[in-house]
Amino acid sequence: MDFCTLNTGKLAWRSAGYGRVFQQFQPTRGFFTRYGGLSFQVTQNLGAEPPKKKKKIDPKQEQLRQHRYIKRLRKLQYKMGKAELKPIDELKIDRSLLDASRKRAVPEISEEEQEKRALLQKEWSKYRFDQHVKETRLIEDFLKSQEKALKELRSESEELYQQAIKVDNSLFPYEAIGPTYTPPIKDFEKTSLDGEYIDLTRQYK
Amino acid sequence: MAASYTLGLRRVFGLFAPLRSHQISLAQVSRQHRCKYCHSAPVESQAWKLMSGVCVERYPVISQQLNSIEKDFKDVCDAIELETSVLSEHEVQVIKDRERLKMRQSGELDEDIADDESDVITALDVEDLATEMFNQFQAAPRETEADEKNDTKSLNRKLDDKLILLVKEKLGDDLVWMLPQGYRESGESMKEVAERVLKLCSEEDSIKVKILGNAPVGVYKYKYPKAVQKELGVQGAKVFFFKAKLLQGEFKMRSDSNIKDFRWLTREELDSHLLKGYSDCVKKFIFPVSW
Repeated sequence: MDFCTLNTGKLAWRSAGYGRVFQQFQPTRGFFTRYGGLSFQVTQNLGAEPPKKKKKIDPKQEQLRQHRYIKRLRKLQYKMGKAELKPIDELKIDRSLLDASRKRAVPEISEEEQEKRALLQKEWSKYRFDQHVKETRLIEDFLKSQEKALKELRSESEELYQQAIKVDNSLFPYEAIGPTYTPPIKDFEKTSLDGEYIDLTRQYK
Repeated sequence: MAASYTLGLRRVFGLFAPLRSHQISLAQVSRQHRCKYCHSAPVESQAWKLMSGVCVERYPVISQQLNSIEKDFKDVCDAIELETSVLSEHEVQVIKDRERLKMRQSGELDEDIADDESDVITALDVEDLATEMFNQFQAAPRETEADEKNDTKSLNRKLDDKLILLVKEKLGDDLVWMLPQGYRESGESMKEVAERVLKLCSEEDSIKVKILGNAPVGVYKYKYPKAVQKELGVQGAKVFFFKAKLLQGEFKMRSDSNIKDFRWLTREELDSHLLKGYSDCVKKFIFPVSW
């Protein structure tokens, strides 16, 4: 028995091995709404699809058709000109930078200086770790404060709480400018002469 | 009575967890209606008034001054970067120019042949020109006029720190500094209350802010005096705080609002204006700029 359906009312049982096949054909085949002992029956073998009728094409004609297609493409390419590959500037390395003439004359770093730098590095990592710990504590405090607020709100009204825990979609995209080393000059755009520019970006085909 | 007072205070600060076991034993003794958490004399109502507060922050405009270790580390990083770098186009040009000058002085280079290059601007000239242009440019000062005058109403002060808006409002009989706050009216969500509060205390279109998130970032509970409690039938108020980012504009006080005064203060300056408990509560959700 390749496939069978047991129809009791609208409940259909399917054999495990052909489950997927059954699902594909479910809307049209193997589904019965009749009930009773006679409904238990073996359905058609659905392990394969009935073959499609193949169109007979003349192989010569087919070849010709493909030939024409390729010709058309070539013509199009000729019209557009040779494809120019866009270079990836970021990957290019200026070889002249490796020249000996580019070497900077650096005085030898004394051992004392090196020692000083190593010590500073250690001090710096301690300092940064300390900052990290403090920051973590601040965030923890913040989260506790927020959790407490939400708890208090929930104890007052479930509805208000549900409104509060909704995701605020307006937060993103987030935009922020600065901070800079010196504050912006008021009305700088109006007084400065900058503002005209020529776009030198290369265009590629 | 003294015990009830301390318990009441505990409630305000939200430390009710340890009290629960205590409550059961007492409830067995007396079946009178009692406050859920504290065991003072029967309270008529357990209701709280709901309020929203807004913490408007102006973010730093300029970077903070480096402290000593940061400065030392930056100097070393800069030195290492310079040591590992190669000469730039400009530096190469300077060296070339110098060599050419030397050759001409020694007579190795004929003036006539190198004529086409002789009146070219040298790299050093370019440098001088750029330096002159740079010197002409006057950057805005990091310390502003408002800093000198200590004008706490100006947003132009303490550019390297966060500023927080405080208002002076009448609470009972005294004027108290606090974050702008207001009562909730029925049908409003807490965030809507916060938006309305800001609208009511500032002049129209004077500031543009964005309230961040729908959830409150903190809560502060305070009890009304006994007489008021009886009169209103509520214990006190819960203030739910929302954080807001100042986008643009200057704060202008509305003349018909409840607030009497306002100030833009840094996180450190809050202590001197706010009540101790309130300040501790508020500072939890205001991050310092550096720590």
